[in-house]
Amino acid sequence: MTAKQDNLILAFESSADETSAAVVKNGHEILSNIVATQIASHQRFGGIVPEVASRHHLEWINRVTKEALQEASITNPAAQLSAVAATYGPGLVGSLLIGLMAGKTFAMVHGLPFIAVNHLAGHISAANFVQPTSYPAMAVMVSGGHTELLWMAKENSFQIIGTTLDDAAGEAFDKVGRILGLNYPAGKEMQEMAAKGQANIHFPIAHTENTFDFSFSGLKSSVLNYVHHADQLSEQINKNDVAASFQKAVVEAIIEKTEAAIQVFQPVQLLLGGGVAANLALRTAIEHLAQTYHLKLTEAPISLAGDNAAMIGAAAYLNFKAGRFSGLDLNTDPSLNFSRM
Amino acid sequence: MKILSIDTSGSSLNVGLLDSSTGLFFAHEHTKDEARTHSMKILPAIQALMTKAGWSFDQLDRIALTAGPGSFTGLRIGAAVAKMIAGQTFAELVPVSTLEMIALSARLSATDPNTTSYLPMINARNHNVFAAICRPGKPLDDEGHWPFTDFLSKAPKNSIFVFEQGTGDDFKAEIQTAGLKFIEQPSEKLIDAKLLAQQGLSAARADADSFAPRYLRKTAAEMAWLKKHPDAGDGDYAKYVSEV
Ligand SMILES: Nc1ncnc2c1ncn2[C@@H]1O[C@H](COP(=O)(O)OP(=O)(O)OP(=O)(O)O)[C@@H](O)[C@H]1O
Ligand SMILES: [Mg+2]
Repeated sequence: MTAKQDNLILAFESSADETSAAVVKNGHEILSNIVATQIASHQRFGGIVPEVASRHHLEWINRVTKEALQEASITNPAAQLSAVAATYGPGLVGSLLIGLMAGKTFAMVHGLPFIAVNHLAGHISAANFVQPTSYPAMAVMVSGGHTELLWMAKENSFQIIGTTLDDAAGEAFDKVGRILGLNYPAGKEMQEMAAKGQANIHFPIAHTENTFDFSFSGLKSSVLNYVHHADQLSEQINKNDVAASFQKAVVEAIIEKTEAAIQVFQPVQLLLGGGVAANLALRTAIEHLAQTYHLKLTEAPISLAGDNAAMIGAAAYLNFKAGRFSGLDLNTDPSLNFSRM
Repeated sequence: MKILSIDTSGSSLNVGLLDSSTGLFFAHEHTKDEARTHSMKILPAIQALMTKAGWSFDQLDRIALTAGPGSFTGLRIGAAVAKMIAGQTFAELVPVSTLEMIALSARLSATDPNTTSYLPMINARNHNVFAAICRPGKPLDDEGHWPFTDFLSKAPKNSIFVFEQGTGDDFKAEIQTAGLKFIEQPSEKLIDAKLLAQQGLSAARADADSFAPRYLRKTAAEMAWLKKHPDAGDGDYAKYVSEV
């Protein structure tokens, strides 16, 4: 049994198409992290069908809970755990509901405090499994539904410096992947194709009114135009080159905005999180940027970049330390976000 | 036996605690603004009742849950709670058909001695209904998702439709033309939490970890996909989800 002075949190994540439960020790050590993915189900439809996602979550929630407890050797939750946490937003309402109700119910049954976690804070907190963060920091949060530059003046404090005005980076990867005939989610396969191709096509990056905001829908349209144009002329396109050129444009856009924000806000450290943080080209580019500005950098481990409950446990620990608990009446907040700086 | 009953299949929240050895029953008091707030109200309601009864979760023997049909989201809220309590305590999960509960709850106050069967019904839009034929004491017949007119043609003589007030206006004329009657229940009376707990005494238990509500309806996306893939089998969910 773990000594009682250790903080053990059971965390739940179910905001999209992964059902996950994890036990995290002291906010930075994973005792278990069970993730059940529904990707194969939604691939039948070419994208997430919310009602199907909710049904899967409900069918898997008890199973992932028990496995997470067992793997972490939790036999007496009331005595061994310090708190229970769950994602309450942002995400699909029907999906969020399952993890949130499961987490609140678990807390009620075992008489444990409940902690509500912002999914985006979770993605950023995946960095805590690597090393502690120094402040002020700036986080680059790139996922399937969000692309944000976040100012972190201190621990557990997030303010939006810039955000996407249309598509998120991951969404752009998925949509362009679809144009190239890939199945959802296309990010990883796009990266593999890009590695085999040449970035020899110019896809322009949109300029935004606010220097720090992103826009990826124009980029997606220019890829679409390129492919259609070649189609009409019955020209063969090199899909690997398209993937490489698109990826280069996305990475450049992210780096350009991040660099502009570094110059203005002067953080001491950078954080990279979210599903797209698994992208190797982006990682290489941000590592280079951090070096150039002599900044400390923590990237979410690739295995923890996508949705998982361990990152929710890491974020929950920060709430625990700050005494931020929620009642059993807490509801989901599907469009939860941080506020602008 | 100590039984917790949970029904979140419709607009009102029905929760209760029954001690079958003493007959003591603790009911959640309905409030006016219950619709669409089950996710916020259910756990405080259960906790308050447990405190009132002086029970701990380890003492629960059974959880009687309306398994469906009903509002998909509503069914999942109750099921997530029931599954997790059952999974974390000694309590057994006992699912009961929502339609059966609607019929039996209506019978509590029904006075017509000629009524031999009840036709509990939930409006499923586009003139479709979730409905069944309930002859009290016997298993439900024809429980399913029906075009209303098809279901009406199956209605036995001397049977009476039961539905929540305000949800059956589209069907009243057809029911009357067919020479049948209906009962309109106020939402807080549609399902009786005490009766649900009592049903939980005798109904069969289910495996809480693998339990899924009785939706009685696939999603439109799945129906379209199955049409294109007739050999794929009957949507065996489990094979589409895997641990990584
Ligand atoms: N190697 C990669 N390169 C580029 N994109 C990737 C890579 N791996 C995953 N992605 C993309 O990451 C996204 C999934 O990330 P994540 O799971 O964090 O998103 P989400 O949870 O759906 O959205 P959000 O976190 O904003 O609610 C998908 O769009 C996927 O294509
Ligand atoms: Mg995510």
